[in-house]
Amino acid sequence: MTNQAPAAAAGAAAAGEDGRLVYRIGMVGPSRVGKTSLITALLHDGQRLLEGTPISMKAVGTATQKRLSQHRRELDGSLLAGEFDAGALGGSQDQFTFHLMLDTGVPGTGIELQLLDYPGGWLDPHTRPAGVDAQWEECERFLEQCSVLVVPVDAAVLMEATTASHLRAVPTVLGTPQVTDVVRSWLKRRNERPDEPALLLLCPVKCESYFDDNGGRRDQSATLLQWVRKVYRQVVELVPNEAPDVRNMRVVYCPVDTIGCVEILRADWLPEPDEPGALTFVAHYGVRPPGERSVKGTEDIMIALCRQLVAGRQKVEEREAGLRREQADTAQTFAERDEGFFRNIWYLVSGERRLRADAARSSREEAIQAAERARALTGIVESLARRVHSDRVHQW
Amino acid sequence: MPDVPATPDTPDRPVSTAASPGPDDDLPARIDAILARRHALVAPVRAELEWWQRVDAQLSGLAAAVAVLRDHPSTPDELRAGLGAFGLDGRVDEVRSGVAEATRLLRVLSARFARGTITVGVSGKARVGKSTLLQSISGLADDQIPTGKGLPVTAVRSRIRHSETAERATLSLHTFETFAAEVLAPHHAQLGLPGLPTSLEEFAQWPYPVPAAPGEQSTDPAAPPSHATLVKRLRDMQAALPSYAGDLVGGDRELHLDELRPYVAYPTNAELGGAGGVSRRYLAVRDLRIETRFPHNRVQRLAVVDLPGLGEVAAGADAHHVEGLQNEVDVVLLVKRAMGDEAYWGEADARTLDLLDIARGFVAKRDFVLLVLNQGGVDPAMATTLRDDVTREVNMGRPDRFFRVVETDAADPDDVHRRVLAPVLDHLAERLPEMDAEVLEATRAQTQVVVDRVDVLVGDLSRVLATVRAATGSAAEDLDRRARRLRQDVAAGLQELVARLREQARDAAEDPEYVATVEAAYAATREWITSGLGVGEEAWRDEGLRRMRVDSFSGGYAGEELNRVRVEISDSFERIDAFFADRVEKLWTDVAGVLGAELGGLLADPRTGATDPGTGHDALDRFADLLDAAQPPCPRLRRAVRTLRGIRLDYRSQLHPRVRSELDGLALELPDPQTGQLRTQITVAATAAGAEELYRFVLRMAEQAAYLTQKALLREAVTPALVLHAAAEQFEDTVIRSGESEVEFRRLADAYKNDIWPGVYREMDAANARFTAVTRARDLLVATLGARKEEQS
Repeated sequence: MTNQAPAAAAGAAAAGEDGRLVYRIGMVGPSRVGKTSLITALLHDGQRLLEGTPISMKAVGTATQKRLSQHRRELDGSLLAGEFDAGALGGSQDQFTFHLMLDTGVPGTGIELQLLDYPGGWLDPHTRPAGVDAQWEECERFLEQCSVLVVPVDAAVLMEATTASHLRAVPTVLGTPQVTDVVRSWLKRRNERPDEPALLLLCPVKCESYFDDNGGRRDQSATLLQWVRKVYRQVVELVPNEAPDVRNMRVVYCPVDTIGCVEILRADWLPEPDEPGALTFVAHYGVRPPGERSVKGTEDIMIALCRQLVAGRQKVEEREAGLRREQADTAQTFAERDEGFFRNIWYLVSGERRLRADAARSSREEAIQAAERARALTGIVESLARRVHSDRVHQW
Repeated sequence: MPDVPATPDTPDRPVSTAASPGPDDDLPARIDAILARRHALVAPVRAELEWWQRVDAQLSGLAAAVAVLRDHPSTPDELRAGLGAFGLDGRVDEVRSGVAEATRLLRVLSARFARGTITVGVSGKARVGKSTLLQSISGLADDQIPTGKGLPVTAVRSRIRHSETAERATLSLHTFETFAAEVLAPHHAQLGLPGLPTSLEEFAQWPYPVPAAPGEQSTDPAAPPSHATLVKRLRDMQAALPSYAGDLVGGDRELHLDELRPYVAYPTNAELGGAGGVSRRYLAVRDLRIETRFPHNRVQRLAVVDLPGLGEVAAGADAHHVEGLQNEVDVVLLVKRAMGDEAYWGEADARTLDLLDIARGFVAKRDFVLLVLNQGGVDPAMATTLRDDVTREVNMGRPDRFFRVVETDAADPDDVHRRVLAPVLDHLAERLPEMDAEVLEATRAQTQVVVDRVDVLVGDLSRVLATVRAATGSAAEDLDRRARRLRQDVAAGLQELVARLREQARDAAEDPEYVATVEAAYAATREWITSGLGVGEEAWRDEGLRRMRVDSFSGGYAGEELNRVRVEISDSFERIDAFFADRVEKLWTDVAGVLGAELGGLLADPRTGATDPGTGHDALDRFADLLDAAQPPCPRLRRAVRTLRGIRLDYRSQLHPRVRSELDGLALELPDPQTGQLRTQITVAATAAGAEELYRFVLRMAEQAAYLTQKALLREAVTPALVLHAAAEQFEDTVIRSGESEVEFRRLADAYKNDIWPGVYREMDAANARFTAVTRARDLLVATLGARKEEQS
């Protein structure tokens, strides 16, 4: 483990005490499905989105920076080579939590996105390595505490399955049974916090070959959507069954072009040497000239996340107002007790309030700027939350 | 049956034994009229005779047809039992014997009516004066009608006819065969001699026993004395063979009356006692017809027949005479004469009268027989004794009560004419019409009985046949049933096939062979791409560089190559056509299999004779031809088969249009999906690096296009199955549910029933033919009987 463990939820809470919001996002998907690519794309596109604002998006911590840097190097190399295989990008071999920061430049402000990546093989008890039970439990606890769960889906696996044998292999390749189990577990926890907004993001990745809005020649988005609906029908159907009490639960379909300038050349379904009848999926991509990366779809993820944040904030503020009227001095206690997303939002709101108070008291430039930056972050989040999703997005 | 004009009944009108008073000038005309009326009846009687002959033949045919049907092993048990219970053989035999009797009666009738003369038979024991009487009637002399004292002299039965012009005798001669059959055979039979000579030579050498001399013990103590006489006759015939062997030539021989004696007279006593051989040429004579002018005849058409030997010891003589009497005479003069001290009506006379009673047939005996007492040269007392005895014995004490009795001196022609011939002719002139009517009526009644029996027989047989027919049904009904079943079975087979194809098309969704075929085609295409787009990487780049340098830009070569590669890839996937051809052929074979399973050997390959219909397309083509050649043809079914044979399933026509868009990327310029503006995909420098870059680009685009084509083809995996299913379903729909289906299946079944159900209809046809032969024979008989009834009504 090279950085914080999922137990950093406690750390995040601690960090939250200085006003920084820790926004935990779980991801569930098999190895090589494209989780790292998705995070890289999220960072890449986030930076683009925030250009010209006082807010920046960056990787936090050496481990995250190294991991993302390595992934980017591999990707850049492939793009230069003109083609690559999906399997060529190194998949997660260990659990890892990515730390991305919406940074205001003012300590104690900002929003830290914690995204847990872990080996997809851990999902399946049969393929989970011995001796990682404790880590898997931590992963589970992290996932349970997330109000957002991202399910990356390899779009190529769905779209390139043409024969019956391919189709039979799809659930295994995408790990849908294990994904379903994790989602079920996550939903149960969400149902324990029925007031918290919850967001389930179905994110097909590597969608470049199936949309024509980002350099692709053909629009097969409807087919992709159809396949996702079909293959993840059980996952989606879990939502009302497992979290019936959650009042603000959204299931959002956000297909992402994680690279943008590539398109599939061919796909091979190779027999698993050790497992008769099983197939391994390998997609071969070509790079569209001029080979410049063009992520698409992550903005919709950002919009969804921001809407989640805004909704959480509103909920916290409403709750805090009520508590202040009744028992203002016990508000913090309440928030402390209600650990998780709301507590973090409360910290955020408290931090902002403190900054504003500081600025009012000191009238110092730094204090005023800090307060402005915190307000800017809030404004950007709210602005993003107000944006309209692209046509790619569907909400169930 | 013709009618004879009725005449008033004249029972027991006494025939005067006295001479007829004065000439009866009307008699010849009356006799002529009678004969004319009779003659008019010949044709109807013969027609009836033919009718009966036809009935007999039809009965014979019916019996034979029934026997064939009853005895055939394939005849249903029920039918066999029915026919057995019917007891046809015995009944037909019985009816046919009735028919034979009817036929015989009609022959008698026909002979009676066909005679051109009034014929008087003269019969009586030897030595009573028959020949003398005949001489007196005919005016012939001893040379023609021998008479004599002591030994019998008349050896040949003769018919003598009055003729105004002709004086001649016509001999009808035996062949050896007729001689053996009619003369020798009765002797052999009566003597119990085995075998019969078959040739003159055999007869000449035939080992007849030596007769016992009078007083000697016979070799056969049980043999009656007459046997010795018969044996002697045979030996006499044998001994005299050289005298008549040359006459056994058959046919007629006409002689002058002066030449006749050797043929008609027995050897005289002198001849018998002579040293030389005895001539017995009379043995060669079967019949003798003499035409001469009768001296006292008022009737032109009169004939007298000598009927020798009634009651004599002569083998077969009685039967022979009965037949002769029935056929040939209208009246018989039974001559009786007192001889020696014998002046009574003896047992032999009674037997003769019995025979005549049989011979008269339906004619009243009073009309048929006249007793002629030849009193010439007889002692008057004896004459009286005889007359009285005849009155007592024959007429039960009352003269002429049953038989008319005339007396005459047979040697006196005038007396004979006056006392015998004239009354007889008067009697016939008066009675013949009624006699004819009686004969006709009696024959009619007799034959009607037989007709009724035939009717009953036919009715009973029809009832048996009707029962059987209802139980077994006809071949046509069977064919109807089989045609319906054939259609149902073909429908079931096709529906099963269509269901299987539907499952493949809709449920199974994927044909592994199709997938493998497409993947193989893709692999080959990819091999072509990666090995240098058909020319090799280096050659491609060199050529590209040269072209780009000449053109000063890359677009020309790039565009051409992209086009070439696009076409090549498209063509490359035509490899899957072999798969389609196999699938289509399999469909044809499956359909042919369904048809072949129900159509027996009809679809068998005529070249191999195998019942397996062989390849689908051959079998279906043959089937279409057969449907066309059927009489009447089956155009709707044929069209369905042709349509099925016409289905096309190939990459170019079925799938290429659906996957063509996957090759769109292989073009230099593509429309921007967002703006619609054409966008050049690549431009490279006219350098080696540019050529390499272009090669990589084309390679990548080709690979992607090939992959996408493969993918699209795999996604169309169900299309071939859909096409095949649709074709099969359409075929099944047309074949089974078109308006003409039922009719055309019936035609098909009818035209090729022996191929579809080998043996069934040949045997059934044969069985039906046997059955039909019976019904046809029955129907013929019914029609024949019906025609008679209609005629009678």
